[in-house]
Amino acid sequence: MRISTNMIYQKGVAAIQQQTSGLLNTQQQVSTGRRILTPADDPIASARALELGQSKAVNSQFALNIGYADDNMKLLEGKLMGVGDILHYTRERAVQAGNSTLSTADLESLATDIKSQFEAMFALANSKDGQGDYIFSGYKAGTQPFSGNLSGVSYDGDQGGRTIQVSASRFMPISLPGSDVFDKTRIIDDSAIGLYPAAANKGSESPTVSLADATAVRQATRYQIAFSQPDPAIAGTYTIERWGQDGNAVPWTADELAALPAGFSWPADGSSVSYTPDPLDPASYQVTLDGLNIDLPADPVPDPIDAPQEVRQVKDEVTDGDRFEIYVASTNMLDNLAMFAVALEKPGASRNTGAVAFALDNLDAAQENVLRVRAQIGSQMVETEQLANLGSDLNIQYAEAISRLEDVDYAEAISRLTQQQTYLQAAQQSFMRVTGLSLFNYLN
Amino acid sequence: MSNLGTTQAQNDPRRQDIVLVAQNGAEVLLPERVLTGGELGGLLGFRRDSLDVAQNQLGLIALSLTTEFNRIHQLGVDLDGVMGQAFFNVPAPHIMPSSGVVVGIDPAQVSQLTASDYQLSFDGTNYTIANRNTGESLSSAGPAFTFQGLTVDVTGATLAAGETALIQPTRFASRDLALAISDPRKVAAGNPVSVAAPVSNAGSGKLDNIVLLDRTGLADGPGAHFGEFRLQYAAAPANAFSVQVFDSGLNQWVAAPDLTIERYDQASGSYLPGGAYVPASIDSSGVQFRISHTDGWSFEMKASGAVAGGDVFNFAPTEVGIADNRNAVRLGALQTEKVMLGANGGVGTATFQSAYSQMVSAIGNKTREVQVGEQTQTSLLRQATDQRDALSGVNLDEEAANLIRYQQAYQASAQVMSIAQRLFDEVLGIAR
Repeated sequence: MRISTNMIYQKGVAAIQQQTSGLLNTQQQVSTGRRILTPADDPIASARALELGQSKAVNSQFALNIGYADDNMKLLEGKLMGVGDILHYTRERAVQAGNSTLSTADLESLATDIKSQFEAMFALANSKDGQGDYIFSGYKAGTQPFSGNLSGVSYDGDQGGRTIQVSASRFMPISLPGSDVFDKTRIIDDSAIGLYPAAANKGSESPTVSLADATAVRQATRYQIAFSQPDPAIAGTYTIERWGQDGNAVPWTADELAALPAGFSWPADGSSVSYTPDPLDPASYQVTLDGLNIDLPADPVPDPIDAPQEVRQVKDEVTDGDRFEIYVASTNMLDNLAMFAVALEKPGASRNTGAVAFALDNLDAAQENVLRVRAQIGSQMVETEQLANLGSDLNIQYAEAISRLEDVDYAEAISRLTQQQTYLQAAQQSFMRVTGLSLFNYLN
Repeated sequence: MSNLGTTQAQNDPRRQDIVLVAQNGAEVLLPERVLTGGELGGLLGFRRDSLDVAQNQLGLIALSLTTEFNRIHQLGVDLDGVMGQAFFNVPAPHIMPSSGVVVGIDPAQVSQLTASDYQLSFDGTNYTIANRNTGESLSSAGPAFTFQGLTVDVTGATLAAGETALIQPTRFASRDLALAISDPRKVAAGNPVSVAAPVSNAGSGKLDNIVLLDRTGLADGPGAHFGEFRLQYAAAPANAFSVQVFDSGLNQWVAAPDLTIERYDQASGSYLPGGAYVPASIDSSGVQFRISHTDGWSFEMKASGAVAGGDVFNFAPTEVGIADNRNAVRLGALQTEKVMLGANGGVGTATFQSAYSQMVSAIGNKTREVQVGEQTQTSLLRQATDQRDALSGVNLDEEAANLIRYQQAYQASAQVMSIAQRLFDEVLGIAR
């Protein structure tokens, strides 16, 4: 076959161009650090790298979200710790207030202390985060969650809990609605109601009280019960007054009075109700008032009737002038705190014993509730830490996988670059050598 | 002599087809299949196999993303308590000629959309829509039908019998994608349905994870999107939730006439009527319920925990809840949700990203295929050129050698002449 001179040039140039394009490709790989310059270089790997790229980006977003969640929960934890401290301090004061030798003035100064604790707790419940959003108002971050004062606190937020996505399938709550922390700290059941007799009572027994209907109960209320029986032979009368949590009387409304069971009587202004059980009807010793079942002691005629209570054979179970006080707690811990402060300031029939027993019970319930939500926050903080670790492990793994798919092996690429350079040089030099050969050089 | 020229394609005025222009000016359309080689064939092949496919595929992602995002966005409420609007302008499918046919996208069937073009033909009684890639088709007399996620309304169609129209749902979708809202207040980050458990509940059960499924019949707001209602739990032996509304005439709560509650059944994978819930069983770890209104709206939720008899859960439209991010979380979850490329009638099998990866991979493969083709062709061309040059080409060394040979022959011939001259001279010399 004849090798035409044209062919020699064309083939030489083609070979040089091929080498140059290979060299350029390798040079591009080395300078970008990427093995895949266009998807055509490795269609499968580039598609996989895109998917992994998204997974990595999502993972980084989760890491960011975990950071936000953690910040939020630290803030919550801080606030809840404050709440716990206030409850603890108030409990100590309550124990102190239980000392029966305390004078009225002492109780009043304690009340002042408790009131300032109430104010501190109220401020904590209405605290804002760094962006000016209320922490404990659920979704209504622009609405102050708690309003009111010592005479009653109401919750104006909702029960929404903000969540943030911290992993593919985990949406972590990052806020607690105030209803969970402050507003619903206990369930209204028998334990939320207490009846305390006055210290000076001479009768041997007290009425007992239990829950009849949770929804009809008037929360955060004190009832003052006085028994009058001028003649021990005739059944006595119980007179009941109703006080709000601020210690002021709350008269029964006309509607409420109309709904009272038979046997009650009342003055025109409804400021109190009176009830006289019928000794001949045992059922009349059980009476329902405001959703409460009050079980009155059966009251037999004492024997002997004119002897002092201590020496009687049949004792007078309730004597003339005996007084009792019923405390009905609120589900709201702020209300209960306020009620305790007011009860020390304006003591009822049971003076400080009832107030303290009530306070200890409710402070414990509130503390328990705070501990419950703190435990939830705490376990979530542990979770975020684990998720963050897992996320950074995953991130490395994704980066490694993407690198394996996309990145160039430098040792291999550089040695290939050198090799291709050598080939190109060889092609160029041999081209010059071959094209320099011509018989015409010898024709002179 | 005939010339090659271009003309507008029959079904698509934005596209040029190749024609043969005869001497008398008549144009004969050259089908693409006869133009297989050369630069023209390459360009046509690129347009047919790569460009169209890539445009459609990218358009499909744009269309699916906007439709699905809008669907979820419209299930939320914005900062002013108004139901969400469309977040994106959904690019409308193109139909040529326009012919009065209205083509749209069914938001509930995003997973059924394909990257294909469709042909709508009319035979006088029935309309037939056919997928131009797979050949699947549907015939219907109208006036409206749905095929592969496309809604076709032929009420005002002006197609004559035998005429066809080309439907391109995705071709220009990525170009025409645009934001529909510019006011950040209109971002529907909240969920229109809120539930609250009153403090008087004796149990610790809760309802959460409310996911709105359908908003048909919900008022846009601001204000109430629906009338308040509540779920009441009845203890044993009923052990069930019931939906109640407040009757102001009777001044009490009564069974809701237009709301139903259904419980999700794991075994059959569907919702069954009734609100049965037994707190002292595995139910307490969470049961899915659905509440539907006769107007069409419905939502899902999860009940969990110890619900006590008599407990109620009050449902109310979300008031302006500026920190409510439930719908925003749901929108964010779209990133990893499989919403595209569903099996026939089924749920999606690919995320937006996977669909994009698939397209990149397909184009990469096509490019690789073309590169290999180019290498083969180059090699073939080189060999042919070599063959030709071997016959017709010139090797300079060979020519130089010939030159020398001929020069030497010439010189030899000249020598012969000179010897003959000398011989002749000698002969003449003898005679003198």
